[in-house]
Amino acid sequence: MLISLSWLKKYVQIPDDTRRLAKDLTMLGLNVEQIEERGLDIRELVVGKVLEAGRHPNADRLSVCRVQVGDDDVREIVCGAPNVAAGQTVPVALPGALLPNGVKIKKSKIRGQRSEGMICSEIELGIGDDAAGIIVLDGEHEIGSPAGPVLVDADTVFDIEVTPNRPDLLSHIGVAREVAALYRTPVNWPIDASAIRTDGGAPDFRINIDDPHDCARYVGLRVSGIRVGASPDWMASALEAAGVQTVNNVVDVANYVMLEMGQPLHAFDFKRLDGTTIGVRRAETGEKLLALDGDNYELSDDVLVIADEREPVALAGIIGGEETAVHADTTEILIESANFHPTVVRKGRKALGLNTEASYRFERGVDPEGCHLAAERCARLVCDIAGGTIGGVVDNYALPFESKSIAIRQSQTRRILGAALTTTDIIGYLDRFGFAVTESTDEHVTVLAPSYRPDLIEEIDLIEEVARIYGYDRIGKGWSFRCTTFARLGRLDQFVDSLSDHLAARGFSEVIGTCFTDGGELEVFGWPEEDLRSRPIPIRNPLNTNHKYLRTSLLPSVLEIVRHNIDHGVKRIKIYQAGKVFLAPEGVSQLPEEKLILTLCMSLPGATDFWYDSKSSLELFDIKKEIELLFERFGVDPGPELCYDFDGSTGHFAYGSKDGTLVEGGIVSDRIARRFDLDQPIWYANLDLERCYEMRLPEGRLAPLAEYPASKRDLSLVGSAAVRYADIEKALVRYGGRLLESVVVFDVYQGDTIPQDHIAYGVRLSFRSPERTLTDKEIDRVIDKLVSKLKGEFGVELRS
Amino acid sequence: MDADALEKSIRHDIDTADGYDALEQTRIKYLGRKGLVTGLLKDIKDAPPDERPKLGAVSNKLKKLTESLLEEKLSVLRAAQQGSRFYKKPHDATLPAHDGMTGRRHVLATVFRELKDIFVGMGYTLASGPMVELEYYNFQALNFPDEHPSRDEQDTFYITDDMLLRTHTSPVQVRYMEENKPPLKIIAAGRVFRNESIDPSHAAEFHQVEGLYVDTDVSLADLKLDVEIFIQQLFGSKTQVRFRPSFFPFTEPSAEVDMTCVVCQGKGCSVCQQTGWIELMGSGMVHPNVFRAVGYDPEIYSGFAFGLGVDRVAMMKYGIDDIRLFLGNDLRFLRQF
Ligand SMILES: [Zn+2]
Repeated sequence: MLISLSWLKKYVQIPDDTRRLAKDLTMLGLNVEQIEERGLDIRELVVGKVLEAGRHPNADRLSVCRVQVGDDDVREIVCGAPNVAAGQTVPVALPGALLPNGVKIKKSKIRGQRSEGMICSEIELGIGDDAAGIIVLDGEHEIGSPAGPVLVDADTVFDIEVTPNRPDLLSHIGVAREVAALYRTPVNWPIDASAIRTDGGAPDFRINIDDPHDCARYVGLRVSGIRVGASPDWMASALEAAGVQTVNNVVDVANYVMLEMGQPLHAFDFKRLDGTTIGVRRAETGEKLLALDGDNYELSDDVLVIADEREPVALAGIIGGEETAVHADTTEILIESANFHPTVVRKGRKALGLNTEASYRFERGVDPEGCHLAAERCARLVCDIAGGTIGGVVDNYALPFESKSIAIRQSQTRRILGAALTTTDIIGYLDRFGFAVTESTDEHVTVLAPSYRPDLIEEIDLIEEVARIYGYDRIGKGWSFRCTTFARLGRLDQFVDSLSDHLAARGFSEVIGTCFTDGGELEVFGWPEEDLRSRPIPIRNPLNTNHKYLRTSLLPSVLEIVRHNIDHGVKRIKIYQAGKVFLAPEGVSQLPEEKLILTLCMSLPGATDFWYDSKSSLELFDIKKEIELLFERFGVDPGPELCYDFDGSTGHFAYGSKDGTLVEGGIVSDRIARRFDLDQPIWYANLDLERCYEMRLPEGRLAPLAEYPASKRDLSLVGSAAVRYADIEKALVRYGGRLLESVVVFDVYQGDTIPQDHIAYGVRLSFRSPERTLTDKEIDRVIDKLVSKLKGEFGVELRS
Repeated sequence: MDADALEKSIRHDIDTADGYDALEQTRIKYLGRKGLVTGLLKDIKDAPPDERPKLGAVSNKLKKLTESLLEEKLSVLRAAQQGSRFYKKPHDATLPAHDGMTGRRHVLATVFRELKDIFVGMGYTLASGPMVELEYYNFQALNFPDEHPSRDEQDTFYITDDMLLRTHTSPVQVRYMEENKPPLKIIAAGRVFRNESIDPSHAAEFHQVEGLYVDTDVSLADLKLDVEIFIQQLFGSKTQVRFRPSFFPFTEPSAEVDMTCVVCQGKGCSVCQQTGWIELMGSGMVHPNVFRAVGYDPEIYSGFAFGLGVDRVAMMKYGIDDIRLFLGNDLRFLRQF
């Protein structure tokens, strides 16, 4: 809300120091977001008098003027404006002046003619759009005096952030009330209730309200014999300061009174209304209205309209109709000052996609008690400015305002604010806001909530008022910290945190991507229909296609990030993202599952670009290593049901049990890479983090460190390449018994010395007993058993 | 002693020196003020003029030889004392050993962690809730009436009529209060969504941390103190904090919290519109309607809540001027933190 201080001053005394006023208002809850100093403060811009204006000898369109800019100071100035003439009083920018458009005025020669300044137009001074000619000043002005203040009234304008609970602050009087409370000074109203006259004679119209819940009150006031024209300068400049465009003297007055008192007003051309009954009713489906903004609106039952006896003539509380608006030839008007219901106006203007100064105020709540006074103020100003006489009035107050009594307790005030206020203090503070006290005891005070404060409903609302005027900054001085709770970070949070640290130490950088997807991944990922990832949840009202769905996998956004970085020259990438994906097993009838996933991604393409310790490309085992290191580091045990599923042909792998997949990963397929415009090998893995967390081994008790030495045996095993190493190792562990401590594969061989389609593994077995040193015989027995089992189950034999 | 004999003796002495002391003695013996090589150099001036150049050349050669042998021996002795027999001297030890592929936490995660650290230290437990939320928890239960302009400030992504993407972390408060009895002191942290056009200071997805404390007799004074402690932990103990009245549907009295401008330290600059203050967070006393919605009696319990934007904190702490950088994940950006 733009508040002009010179306007505000008409109603309340304000401090000279505008910065102090801004700070005080801000601390009262009226946040002054911006302070604009209005006025034209240009050095060397003076009032001048054109003494002579003659044709430029070398240019038809230019004039050479002699302009007096001081007692004995006459300058020769070349001017291109067609309207320049001797005898005019004009603004003159002298050499040294810096104009708002950045032009610096210098002595110069124009087509061979000396020019010692410039006679200015509106556009050159940044005060209007008129570029056609120079500004000609009316009235008497001292020659040589600064022209800035003559052209634009100096003013300071506050841009105040008004929160949705305080519609009363959307007017100068509303802000004046707060200033008055702040500095304990009265509000001077431009008009008071006793001025409302009822002697305008019998009204020549009727107001018919269909439903008092849509429209609690409608005041119609007739003014006759007006002459439409331009508004006087003082009003135009006040409106301009408040950011409202001038239209004509009648509309301007209506806007002025709205900005003054907060009541939206509308003026109808009375002669253009059909019949003499004004109805307030819901629109019928199919009705239309050409509104003042030039648009033709198709109406429905959601929209409340003002209608004459034939058709809608205005959208109630939103905008007037073009047909019945005040035109240049209008002489008879009907002023509307009504109270429409906030929700009705809101629904209507949303249905029509409109937002106006009027609807903005009605949505938040307009003072129902103020209608008649605002109408009277408007009528009088119209008569002052546009002539005319006030006629009959109809005040249809269909649903009278009932003021609400609210009690505030001293004990509750103290309890909520933590400030030792007494009932007397409370009464004092509420009085500064002008709330009428109806009852008070030692413990509580009852006040009437004013009609312009719809936000005051219960005790807590009054406690806030007390706090505001008492001063938030006075609360809590000397208070001491108390803590009645204990806290620690949750285990899962800690788990994710240390996992992140581990990955950072492994060289992975964390990325945090969008939760949205455009769904483009669906066709290339080829998730089967029963996979929930194939059915992302759609957003109903996305602003653009990027926000079409919620993600079901982190990988697409990670690949997007990879591509972004490759595009920006970073080709060696190791990143991870931990985040939620959204899976809807039940469709969208209930909240979806939000599953915590970790996605790792690495790509180190092409030639080595560092001299030391750098691989030129990655293999499956590089990503597998990261997964198995994670398991090892965090004690994640995929469990006895572990299935290790490796598809050698496409480079994909998965770990998991019968309950589902714990990890899956591999190399990004060409199909997917093409979709993301990627042209280098990219390895990835997706981990179900919450399951990993659940699968952690319990925190064990210390196992005693072995006292007896381990015995190591190396076996060279050879068998069909179709036998998977994982199965061999599983068998070794199963049949190796208690004594087998560990199995390490130290060599893998395929080649000439063994049959084709065969593979050889060098396996180191370590045996140990916690009770004694093992004998060779004991170990041999185990080895024999293992060898025979391997032969029996897989046809794998000792290599001779 | 002639030059050849002297050289032989030098070589022998240095070769057999078995420690730093012995080596030093050898140095003195030959190169000391009264040393044999030094003496040779001194003798030059007494020699016949035509022999001087030759004598000079020989003596200088011996001096240089002695110096280099001493140096060599010294490194042998050093290696014997500190070196490793497994050590293989590289061609050039000044070559860089890594290629800058270090891993980092995301700057937002780092800020999240710092915020959690501070709050846990102040007795706040971390609570969480869904990002896809019911309309009831996001608005209704938080005292946002239907069709009220206060909803306009929270442009919402809808999934169905009553399901949406949470516009703030506050629904977590309601869910937690439904499940727990006071006293309770929690923070909720995570992603929130606003359906608005994106520019350097507005994102459709950003992050919040929110706190809630409910007990008997919690006051605005308690709120001010906790918030002040928190801000000073985060931005330093010299940071000034001010509270000014504001409006949020779920708190009353409500307060906007400003802190000393991080750019000008409160002197006034363009960032803070010359006020010396910048807006950091919203806060207030929990509105009785919120307590009623979760079945707490506002006559018995009172509480406060506050919330702040994590992205905004990161922007202020690190001088980041475009909120879109966070989800942009440019590694050139991420590696700076
Ligand atoms: Zn500043």
